[in-house]
Amino acid sequence: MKRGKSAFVPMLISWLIPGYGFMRNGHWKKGLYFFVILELTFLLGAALRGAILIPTFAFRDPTFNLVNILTFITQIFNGGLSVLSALPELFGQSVAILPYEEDYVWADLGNFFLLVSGGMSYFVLVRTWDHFYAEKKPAVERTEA
Amino acid sequence: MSTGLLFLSSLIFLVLVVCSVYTLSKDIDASPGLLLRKMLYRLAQLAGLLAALALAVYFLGFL
Repeated sequence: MKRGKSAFVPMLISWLIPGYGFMRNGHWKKGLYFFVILELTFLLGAALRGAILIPTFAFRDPTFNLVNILTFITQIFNGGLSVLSALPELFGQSVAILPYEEDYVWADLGNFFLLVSGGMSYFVLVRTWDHFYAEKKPAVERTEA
Repeated sequence: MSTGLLFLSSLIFLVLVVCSVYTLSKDIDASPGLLLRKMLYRLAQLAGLLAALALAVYFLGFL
């Protein structure tokens, strides 16, 4: 298993492509399942006009909303598609690749799909680190009192 | 598609996604049979929790 610094690039790709870490380390069926199901969930959300909306981080701003910030942080764990989805927020409607319509009737439900996809991508990412890259601590021996 | 049907199908799909991804990524070396049992167990737990929340919201409506 590769540990430490060498894990940076595979973890970065695992963020961009959910399940990559599992595929790279021999669990390609599971990795492929994670990729298909998490991207499908995200794309279903995008079809319902859900999109990554960049929140206001300024604490004193009247539009500041902690729930929006937490939602944003969770959603961006599905790296590749979240970057694509956030393009109109960053550069305007002309660069929109995924559907983008903030006021659409199902947009909130679509955002929830994005939230679940991002949350489960985070979980897969953490498990990739735990299973394949984290330092394994030696078992502590119990001493009799 | 009607509103209720869309919400219900979304709920079922998302619960299945959460349970399957959680179980497959957590118990990496378990056999398929054990994985299925754990997945169904977590599915039942999550469905129970959601049902309890739905009931709570329903009764809060009377306040």
